[in-house]
Amino acid sequence: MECEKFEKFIFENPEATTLNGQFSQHIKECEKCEKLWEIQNEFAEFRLDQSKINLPLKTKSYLLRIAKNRSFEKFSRIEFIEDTFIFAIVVSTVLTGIVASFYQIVLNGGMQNRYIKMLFDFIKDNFSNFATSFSSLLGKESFVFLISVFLITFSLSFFFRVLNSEKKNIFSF
Amino acid sequence: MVKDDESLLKEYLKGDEKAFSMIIEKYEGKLLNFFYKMCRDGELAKDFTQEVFLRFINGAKNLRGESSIGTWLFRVATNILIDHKRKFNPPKIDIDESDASVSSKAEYLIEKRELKDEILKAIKKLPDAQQNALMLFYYEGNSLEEIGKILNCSLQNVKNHLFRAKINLAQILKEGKNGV
Ligand SMILES: [Zn+2]
Repeated sequence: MECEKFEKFIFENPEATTLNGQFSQHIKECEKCEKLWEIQNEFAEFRLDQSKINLPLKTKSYLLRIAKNRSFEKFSRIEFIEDTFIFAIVVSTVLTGIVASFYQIVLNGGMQNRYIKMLFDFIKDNFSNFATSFSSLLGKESFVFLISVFLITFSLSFFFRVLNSEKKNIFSF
Repeated sequence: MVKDDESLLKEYLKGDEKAFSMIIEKYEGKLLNFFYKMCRDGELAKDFTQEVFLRFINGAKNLRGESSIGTWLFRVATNILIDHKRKFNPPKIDIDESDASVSSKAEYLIEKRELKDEILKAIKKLPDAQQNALMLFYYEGNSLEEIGKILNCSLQNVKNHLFRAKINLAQILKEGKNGV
């Protein structure tokens, strides 16, 4: 019963550092509550005299200087490359998909327009191996195509993003 | 994350120096206090606080999902202290119970000194919500209402996290003693 009361007291008064007579007697007799009180005291001490102290000005300006150099690095190194990488993956996947389905159409002769059909027949006759491989989406050619588009998109978008970057010191990493 | 901290962090990540300066101002005193109370050494407290901010500069991007900048900073602060104690504290000497020359008074003093370190290590074993509540209430000195807003929960819930945290810590310390 005393334990329950004591726990209720700790629950309701997480900042308490003093006990009334009844509870001080109890923690002398109950090891479990004594431990709980010890822990509460360890923590509650931190809330006492939270005087406002500051770092030395020298330390602060040192930190600000480091942060200034790092904040740009964060952008160039991680975000910049990360974003460009994702962009290039999306573009190359979508393009490979489009090209693969285009060849699928060519192979199946799905185009009715005479001139387009002529063009498709030309492609079909001259690049049939390529077309067949592409139509599976797993062939060597489609893989090579995907990688090339990825590399081209990555380099181009990286290059243009560098040109357009507000942070001109982007090259310093 | 609370609105204040969230916008500060966003601005800092955009490269705004003023935001970083405000983050330092908001937390330097709390961190210095924490370290001072943990190791009773003003110079060490300054060095550790500087180290926390240096780690913040490098790791601020990982703060997404944290309930406040403060909880992240104090998590780092705890790690720094644990590392420091591991490096510089002599290994714990087991008291031979058959040795009658070791008085119970001395034993009590050693226990008291070790309690701080044990709690520090045990905090890391608590569920995140309980760790956050402890740090926000005791280390940062926030009110229960403020913590409710930060953790997005009721006052009763905050009290519950704090209470459960202490009960769990008592359990962890007890298990440590019994060598479980
Ligand atoms: Zn009890």
